[in-house]
Amino acid sequence: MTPLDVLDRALVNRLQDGIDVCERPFLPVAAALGLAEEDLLDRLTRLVAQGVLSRFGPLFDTERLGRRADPGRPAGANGGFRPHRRDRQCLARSRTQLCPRPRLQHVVRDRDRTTGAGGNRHCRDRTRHRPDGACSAAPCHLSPGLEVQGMTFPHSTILPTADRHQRLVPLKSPLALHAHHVKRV
Amino acid sequence: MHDTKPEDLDRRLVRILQEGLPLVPRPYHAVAEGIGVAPEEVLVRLQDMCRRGVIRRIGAIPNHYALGYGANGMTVWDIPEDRIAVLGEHVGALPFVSHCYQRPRRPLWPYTLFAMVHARDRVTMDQKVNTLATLIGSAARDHQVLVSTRILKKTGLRFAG
Repeated sequence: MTPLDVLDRALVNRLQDGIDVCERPFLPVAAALGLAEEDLLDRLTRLVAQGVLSRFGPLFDTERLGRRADPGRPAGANGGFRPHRRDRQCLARSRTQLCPRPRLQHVVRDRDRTTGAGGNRHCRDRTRHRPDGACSAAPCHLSPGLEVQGMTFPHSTILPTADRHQRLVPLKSPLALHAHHVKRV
Repeated sequence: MHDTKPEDLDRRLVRILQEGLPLVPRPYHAVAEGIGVAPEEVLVRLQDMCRRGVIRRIGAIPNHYALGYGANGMTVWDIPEDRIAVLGEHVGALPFVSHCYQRPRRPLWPYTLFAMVHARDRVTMDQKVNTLATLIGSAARDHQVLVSTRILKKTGLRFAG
């Protein structure tokens, strides 16, 4: 592999900060580095071809990507999937629990009960933390989203067993209702 | 132009752009042309995804190994939850940390803060871990370094859309 010169390094550093969404996004970057736009693009193409950059493009926030566009609207009104009544009760209860930032845990294959259309829902971890540092998983939160491929979820991340679960949160996990739909992708 | 809902266009854009942005002077126009949508519409949808945080940034995603960073380790720290917000900011601001996550404590696994450290060699990596340990100080009850020994897969997530 050709060693990287000073400009390559400056380019890698600068382009990690990102470019704008506008008509000529490379132009200001090239100007700042004292390069012509065309030279910058040639270098960038070479860096991707050499594997120095795995990719040049958007970095997605996987959690936000699975979320509905407008959190103000009910799930059913956005082409999303309205949870089953028992799940809804469960979700309503779990919202009142102390919950730090939820984490994506599973992608659940499901079917909308009113329209019959198939789709994916994202299960999010609702981990509860007690002041003594112990923690337990509460019912997960479901939201419609894109399918995530090539991502594995180890067994240990699946919600805990029913008795442990119920001792802390006397609710049935929505995941259990759809256990046969869980697709480990 | 059969898509009318903005969410549908967003999904198509996600699907196309995960392959990478065309490296041409007007990349978003090239994308728009490829899917038969007005360039202005593509710009508006992408700006909206950036604003909502769905897209963190559009830029270069480096391969640490190809850049000569052969010593890479996940450092895991047992830190009380109420101190992570502040310490996580400091840790994440370090140039040699590429990922920094909070994760829930698990039985037999008390670590709550995870930070990926990259260095050219093992000695430099140990120095960097020491820098982290000094920064975190007594807030960490324990820490470990899980050094990568082999790459089995290294790629971004793929979305089926």
